[in-house]
Amino acid sequence: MRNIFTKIGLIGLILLTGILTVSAQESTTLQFMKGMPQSALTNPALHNDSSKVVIGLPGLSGISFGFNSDFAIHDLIHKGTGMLKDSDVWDIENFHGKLKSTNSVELNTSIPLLFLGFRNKKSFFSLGITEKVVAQVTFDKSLVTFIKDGNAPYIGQNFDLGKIGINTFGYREYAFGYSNEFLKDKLTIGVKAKFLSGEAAFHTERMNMKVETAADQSYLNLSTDMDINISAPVTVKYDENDYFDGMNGDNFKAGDYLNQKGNSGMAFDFGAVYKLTPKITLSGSIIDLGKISFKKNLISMKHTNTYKWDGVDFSNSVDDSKGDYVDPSDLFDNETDKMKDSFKPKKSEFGAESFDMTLPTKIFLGGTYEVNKIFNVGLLDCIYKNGDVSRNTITASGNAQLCKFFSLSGSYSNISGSSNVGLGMAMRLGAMQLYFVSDNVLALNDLTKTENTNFRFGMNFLFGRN
Amino acid sequence: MKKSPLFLCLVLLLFLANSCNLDSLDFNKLSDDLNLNPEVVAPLATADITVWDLIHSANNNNDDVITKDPTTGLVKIVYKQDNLYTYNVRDFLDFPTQQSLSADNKALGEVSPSDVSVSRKVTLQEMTETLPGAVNNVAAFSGQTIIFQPYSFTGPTVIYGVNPFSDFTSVTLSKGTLEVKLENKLKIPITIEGILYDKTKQANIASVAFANIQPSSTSTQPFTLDGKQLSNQIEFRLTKFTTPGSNPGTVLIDLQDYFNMTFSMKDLKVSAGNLMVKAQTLDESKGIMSFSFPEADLKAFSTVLKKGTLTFKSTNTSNLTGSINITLPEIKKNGTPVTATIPLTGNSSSIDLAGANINFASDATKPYNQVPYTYTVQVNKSSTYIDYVSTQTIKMEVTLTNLDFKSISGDFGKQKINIAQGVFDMNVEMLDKINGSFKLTDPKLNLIIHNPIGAPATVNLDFSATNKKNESVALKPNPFNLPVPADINSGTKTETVTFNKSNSNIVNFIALPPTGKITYSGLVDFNSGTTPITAANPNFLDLDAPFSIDLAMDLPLQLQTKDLAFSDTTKITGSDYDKIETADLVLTATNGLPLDIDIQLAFVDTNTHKQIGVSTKSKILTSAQVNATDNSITPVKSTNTFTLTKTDLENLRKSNSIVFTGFVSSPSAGTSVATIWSTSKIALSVVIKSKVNL
Repeated sequence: MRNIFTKIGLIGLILLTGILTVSAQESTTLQFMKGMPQSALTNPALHNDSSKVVIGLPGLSGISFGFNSDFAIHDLIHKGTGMLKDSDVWDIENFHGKLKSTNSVELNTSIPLLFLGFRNKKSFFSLGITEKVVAQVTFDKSLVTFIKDGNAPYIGQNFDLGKIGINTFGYREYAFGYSNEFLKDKLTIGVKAKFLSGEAAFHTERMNMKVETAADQSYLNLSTDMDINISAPVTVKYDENDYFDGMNGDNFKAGDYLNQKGNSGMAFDFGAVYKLTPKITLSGSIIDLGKISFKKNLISMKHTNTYKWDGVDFSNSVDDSKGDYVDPSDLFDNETDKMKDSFKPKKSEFGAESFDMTLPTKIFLGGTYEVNKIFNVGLLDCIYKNGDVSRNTITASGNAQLCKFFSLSGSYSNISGSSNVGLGMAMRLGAMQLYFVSDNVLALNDLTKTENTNFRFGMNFLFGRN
Repeated sequence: MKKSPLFLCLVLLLFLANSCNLDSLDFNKLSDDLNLNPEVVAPLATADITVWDLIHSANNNNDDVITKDPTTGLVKIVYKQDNLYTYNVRDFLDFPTQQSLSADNKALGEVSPSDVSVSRKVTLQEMTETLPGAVNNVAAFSGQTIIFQPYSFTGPTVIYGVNPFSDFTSVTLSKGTLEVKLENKLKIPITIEGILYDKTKQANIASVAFANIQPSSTSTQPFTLDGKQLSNQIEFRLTKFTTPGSNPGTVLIDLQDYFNMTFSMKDLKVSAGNLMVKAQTLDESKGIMSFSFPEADLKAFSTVLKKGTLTFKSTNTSNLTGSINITLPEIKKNGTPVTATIPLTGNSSSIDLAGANINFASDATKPYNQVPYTYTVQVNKSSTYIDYVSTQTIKMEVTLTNLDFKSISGDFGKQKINIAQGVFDMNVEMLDKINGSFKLTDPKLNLIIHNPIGAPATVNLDFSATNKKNESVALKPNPFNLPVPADINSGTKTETVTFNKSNSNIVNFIALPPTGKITYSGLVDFNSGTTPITAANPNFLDLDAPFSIDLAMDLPLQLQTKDLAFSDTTKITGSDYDKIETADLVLTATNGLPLDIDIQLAFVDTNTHKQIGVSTKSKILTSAQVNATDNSITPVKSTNTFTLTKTDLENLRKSNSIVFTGFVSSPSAGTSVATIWSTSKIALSVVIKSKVNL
């Protein structure tokens, strides 16, 4: 009795602390982890668990968070030295040095609402309903260069601040999976059809900025080119001159948002697993090949603008007896208003064009070698592509089923040049399985220094395990 | 044993889960300093302005002071002070408010009675009764026609009484004529001699003799009465009566036949006597009355009165009654001499003299301060005998009251007007803002004199200017002649007297500059010369016209100056500049103004009255080029940088005000003249290059 309460308390504590932590994108450590039904998330043909029935309850079967960035927070903010050793200081110089020509910050999260899988002879059927959010911000290094250096070093040039991309969308995934064994169980092919219902999206088709500083410094030319699409339960507000004046979300209702209909899409997962030899298994999959067409609550804005600043003209602000005298304070106000109006989109630049959001696609290629009955080693290459951002992760893992109810995996991943040590654990308590997996456990100790981390935690109910 | 791995895994899971932390990032300890120091270049301001725009803005509280020539566009400081000095012209001379003019006592002179005439008819009957021999006893032949026999009577005197003269009882005649007329109504020629005899005076008046007067004939004899004293009691004393008779003819003897003697006195002038005066006009009398002015030296030739009242009064020592018609021929109202009729003894009613002209110069011997008069006495016919003496007098008095003079001409004598010390302040805002001096090449000080006084005068006037440091400079203008109107009808003479660099110290006067008080004083000296003042060339004065002097300074901005400083203080909030590490202001200008301008900033704390720091003095505008030959201006393009160093910006952040000081120099380091044209342009652009600290 006391032991049961101890277990429940510990489990609850782990759950609680797990929910409070930041976690990662799709885990590469997860794929070859033994006894994990969630391995099918990375390859619909891969079933590392032999249970006949797998049930995932809402919110419990696998909450995942993923964070990927081309830089770490520590690159930008870190402890100071000397008199500032007790403070956190900004280090733009260092941050700038760490940037690539194009940089991204991504956040992916998923919250399962329901998962059901069952095995029938050689087939496996699954049904999953999951809430997912994908967020990505991209920017070019030249933007930070400009902020750091100012425009003085670029006199006579039309400095391109690069592209800025903000792509984020939330959707509900209704996934139907099927896999079957062929060739005397040597080959398993799986497919998952996902019906996607988009809830909201923000997509920058194009957002560019340039700053031209005249060679004689007589003017600055600020040019912007924006093409933004939004699908959200908000309306655009305009001022009395029909300029953009903000968004109105007063009519937002969470229920309407979550039950949004009309933004539909399809995605597919394809996977195959082939036992080359009794000890060597090869696998390959492509995940989230698809898109969502957003057609409801649309706001599209195309705004191209050039603003030339050549100083405030005081010609009519010197002699206040003249009829065309303008007060100097009004001059600045007028110029500021002119600049604001210049960059503010007009009502005529808004529309309601439908747009598509492509899901981040992952390609997993790998294989395992069974060292013995309880331990194998795996090697996996994950190619991740989301818009212009692509990332390659190579993971080497060791996966052990230590006993009937406990499996452990350790991994080493190189994610676009950064090294990460991953860990996965699954523990079975009767029909209930608790699991945790992360591709970068060391990052958990100091997230400010990490560029990539993910975390998946959950609970499954497994029945009829072989 | 089985439980141990489970327990260990749970602990490991718990550890891993809880080790996910961001404790190394405490946003509460995150520094506000971004450690970002971009260098920014941006155009700050442009201006394409004229010099006139700048000047106008610097002097916007007294716009009228700085103007531009409408033709050339040359900028000038124009200062005008109307009525710098005013003088009440009525204080120039003292004028009487009333005058009493008296004519001398005047003898009335002779009066005239009416012409008188009495007759004495002597009939034949009376002759027979009074003459010896009864005229040959002709009475006995009455009614008969006979030859009238010759008769001769030669005495003794036979007296025939005559009726007395009716118009006098006794007179002394200065003049007169006695006419004796014999009318023979006898039928025989007669010769009569006799004497008209004054019974009272017992004197012969006239001896008459008529010879051989034919029947029905008349004969007259005149006699002068000049100087005679007569009474009205007279008789005719016959001394001779002869007739040759009618022989050979016969005549009807009518005893009523007569001869008639008529005694007529005419044109009598009585110098004394008791008589009945007929209505007559006595001889006109004339005279001169003298005007008395308080100014001893004033010789008035004429005047026009604004107002005044004239009354006449006469006094009369005789018993005559009548009236006096008096005329003042040189006091004219509407061109008509003033006249009045007053009783011989009495007063006239008041005569309004408003607008009357008085000519004091009609007497060639003394052509000033006098007015002539004439009067005639109209004597009424007396109803009774009155005693009269021609030396009895009448006296005229003329009284002028409530006198107010409008204008006067004459010789005013030597007069002076002391211009008491006065003071004014030019109050030119632009001058108040400068330190240092500048020399204008052609400044002028104009006195606009409004003078109604028609008398030559010399004016000695001086001005003394001070500046804020109480240094002073005197103008020292040359004395000048007061502009004078041509004549009394010309009104006020307005003329401008100009002081420039050739006749005064005005260049140094303005170079002070006169930012403090300007004091003035002077003297106007009239008639100090030797030219005589005559009626043909009089002094004159319109007492209603004002005397005033306006002052106008005309200061064209053609100047030489070196480092003339303009200062202005602006409040700032130092913390607004926290993010600026250094700043360069790059001024690119095409300057059409022929002045070099440098600028220096002083950072001050007005609370502690301390200057925290001062920037380097830097040129911001390069002077336009001036052609030495024709003074034409060629704009110059230049680029100058005004730098605020780190130290300057630190000082800026500590201060609450900035004192902007601009230093202005004319071309060639202040040795050339800069002409400031209102149309000169300055095209300016300012670019800021700044390192900011975010």
